[in-house]
Amino acid sequence: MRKRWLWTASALVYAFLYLPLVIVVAYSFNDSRLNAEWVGFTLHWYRVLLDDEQMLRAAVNSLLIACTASGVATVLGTMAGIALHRYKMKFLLFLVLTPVAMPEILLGVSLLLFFIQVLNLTLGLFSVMIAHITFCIGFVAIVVRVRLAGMDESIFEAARDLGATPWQTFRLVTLPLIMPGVIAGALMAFTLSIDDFVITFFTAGVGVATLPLQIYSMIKIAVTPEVNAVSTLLMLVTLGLIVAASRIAPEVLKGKA
Amino acid sequence: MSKRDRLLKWLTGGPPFLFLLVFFVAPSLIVIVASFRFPGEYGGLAPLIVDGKANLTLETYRFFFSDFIYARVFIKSFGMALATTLICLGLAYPVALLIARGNKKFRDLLVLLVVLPFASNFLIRTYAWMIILGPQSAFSRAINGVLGWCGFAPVTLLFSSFAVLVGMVYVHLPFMLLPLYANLEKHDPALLDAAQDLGASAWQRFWRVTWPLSLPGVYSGAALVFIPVLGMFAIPEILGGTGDILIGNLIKDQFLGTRDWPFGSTLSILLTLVVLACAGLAAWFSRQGVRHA
Amino acid sequence: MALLEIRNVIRRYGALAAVEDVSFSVEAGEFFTLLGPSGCGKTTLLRMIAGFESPDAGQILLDGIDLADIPAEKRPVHTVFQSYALFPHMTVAENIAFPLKMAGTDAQTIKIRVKQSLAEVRLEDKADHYPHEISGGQKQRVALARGLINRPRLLLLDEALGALDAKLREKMQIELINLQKNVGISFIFVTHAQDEALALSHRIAVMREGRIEQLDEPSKLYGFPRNRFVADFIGNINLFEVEVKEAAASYLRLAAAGIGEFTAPPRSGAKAGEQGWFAIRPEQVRIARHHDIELKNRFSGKVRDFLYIGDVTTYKVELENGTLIEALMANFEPGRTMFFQVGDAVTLAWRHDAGRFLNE
Repeated sequence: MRKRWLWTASALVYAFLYLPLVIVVAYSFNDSRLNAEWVGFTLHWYRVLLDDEQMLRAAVNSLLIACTASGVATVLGTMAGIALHRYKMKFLLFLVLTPVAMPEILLGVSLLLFFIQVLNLTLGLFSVMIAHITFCIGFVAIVVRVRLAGMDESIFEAARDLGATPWQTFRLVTLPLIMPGVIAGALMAFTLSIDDFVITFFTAGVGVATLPLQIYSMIKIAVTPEVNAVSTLLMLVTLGLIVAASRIAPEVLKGKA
Repeated sequence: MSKRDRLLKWLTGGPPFLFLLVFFVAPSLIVIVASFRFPGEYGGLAPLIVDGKANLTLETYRFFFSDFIYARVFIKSFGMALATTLICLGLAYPVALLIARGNKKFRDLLVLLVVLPFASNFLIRTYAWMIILGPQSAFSRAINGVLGWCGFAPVTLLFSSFAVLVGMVYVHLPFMLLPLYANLEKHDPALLDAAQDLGASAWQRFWRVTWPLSLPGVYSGAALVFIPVLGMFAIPEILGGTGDILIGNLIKDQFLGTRDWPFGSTLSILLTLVVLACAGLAAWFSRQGVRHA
Repeated sequence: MALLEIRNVIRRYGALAAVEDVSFSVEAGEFFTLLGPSGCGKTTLLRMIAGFESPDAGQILLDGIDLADIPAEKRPVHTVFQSYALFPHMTVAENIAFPLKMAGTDAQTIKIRVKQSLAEVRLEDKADHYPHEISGGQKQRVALARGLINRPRLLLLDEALGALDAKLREKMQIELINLQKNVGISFIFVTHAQDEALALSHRIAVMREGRIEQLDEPSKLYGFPRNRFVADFIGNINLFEVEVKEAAASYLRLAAAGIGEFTAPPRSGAKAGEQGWFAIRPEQVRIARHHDIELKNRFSGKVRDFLYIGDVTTYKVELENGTLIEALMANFEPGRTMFFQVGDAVTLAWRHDAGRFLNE
């Protein structure tokens, strides 16, 4: 009977979680300028979306940044994960985790200062990519490290024992075994990059827009259900990526926490 | 460690280490230095070296402590973070408990269902609440209808501290739920059976067995909610009214609005110190909890 | 020249000495065992031979060559790990082929050699299976095949039978002996199970706290332990305090407080008046209601307890001075679990040349 209390409370929480999103998606098909009442079904807002040049350019930018950032972060993050597991470098652990643990605004602000004051760099795609790589490395490193920790350590010793050089051990034994973790980490890094708002906000400068930045300005300036439409599409993409990642390596969900 | 191992250590760990040194540590140091510098003529920072001497000052820190309104913003943010954390805990705990105790087959699915809303950009999730709490929405009209029926004046839900709180809770709920669930899942069901066998009621079993054992998960979740909330600016901006300025908004305004970069840096440093203090406290608490467990 | 020589090897972890000045050598074709309780340093020694750790002092020589600067992957020494460490993403055949691949052998030769190896361990039908699809005993054999396929100078086995259940363990022990005989390669086996060591080895080094207590053939270790630790660690032993009353060339006269004097085998260096212990195996202690007069070493006591394990029964007898002695008796009458009841008055006796005097 206590179970029933738990069930109702949980059901309410799940409803709380999903209802707002359902509303956003529903209203993207609403034939009305206001997000108030349901008038009729339409695909109008999606058509507007596809004609919106600014939005499309933002989408291209987002994809470009996400691909590059997740690629580089995956390589660096995997190296970090292996180094952390094998050599227990406490300082590297600190460096890798802090960008993830700190409020994003701090990283955004410090990179803004760094780029402008020290590097004299004009903010743009490059600065955003660097920023994204910085906070994605930690995530990939943790996923890889968790995967390594769950493995029988003597396997790597056995490889060496049987004549494999460190590079051969990495190529033939380590890499195949951590690959699911690496791929899952890459997918999650991609998601984090596409979805990022705060850090991008500070490091993008004037000329460059990403999808989240575009959504933000639309929310602040002129709200139309076009926002709902782009939100729905973006949700579908990231949803697909997370489901894929959790299929490949279930520990990604635990690692996210 | 052999020479070869040392070489391998720096070969694998070196590149990420260097990258983070340049793009994380260096910028952080810049911010620290910047908080002691003068603002430039047209915003930004004044030159560091003037006439061969370091152009530094404690002015910004003095400025912060001179007027109480800035400290008040910190306190307000702190309060918002605390409220958000407690509400998230209250909402997440039953769900985490249910999933952890539930059928093994459904566990992964239920956890995935919790994480999926998280897949959407937090702006979208915040925007959703703009719709729900907006004056024209069904929800608002229903609430105001009930209030009107009870004799109260209609209330604007949007652009208020209430809206900001709802937004913060909504966005951060999964962060509390996942570590909590990860912890609860590991609890040995035999412990509760033993407690019941020895005469403990349902409440006692929860309070004396489940809750203490779940504390590490509670602390992790709390840290994952509290710290990000402290630095948030987008949610107050979108859902809050003119009075709902939090630290994040202040910092953003300094850097992108008034362009008083030294002051913005000072605020960032102070925020960092508060965050470090909280993280340290959480770590200390969890170590205490472990000793009693 | 011995195949493997360990000279004054020392390995410390901070203040703790894992291996303290150990020296010994292993001959070609020998089954050599390092035996001792956990923490005695046997695994550390093994890892130093394999190349995963380096000694802080001393030398390890293989075929006369110092291994100090040779990394693990270049040593002609292979290890069978306690967890078998089979590569989970490779099939049985691929696992076994791995060392050959590392050595650069061509694909054709690999195929032939792997086939031979699989036949050697009787796993031909499992060639394309993955490690998680085969049983513990089969994994064990794959690990052995993998370690032996390119005929290393030495095979190291780290508690390799530890994860198997009793019956399987016995079977694998016999297989291991035969394999070693057929292949002719020296094995260095690490274990804490003394019965296993006695069964498998040509020679055993008993270790305690980083040092070798005694290095000998199994029968010599069992019959002539050097000190109480070795006597107690190997098999079961009765130990009680005695004083040397007389030390002659062909015998010792010992006295135990409260029960009297008896004769023991001689021991060089023993002196009259010396305090020590007398060690005697339970199977050397005869138990009866009355004994023949030939056995002069005899004492009376009462049966306190007994342990029936099928083929033999061990009786715990309390002597007049309170000492408990275990006496082993074969159950030669089927269906009968014991010959003496608890509380029975019995006589214990042993030959004048049974047992041993130990002074440490």
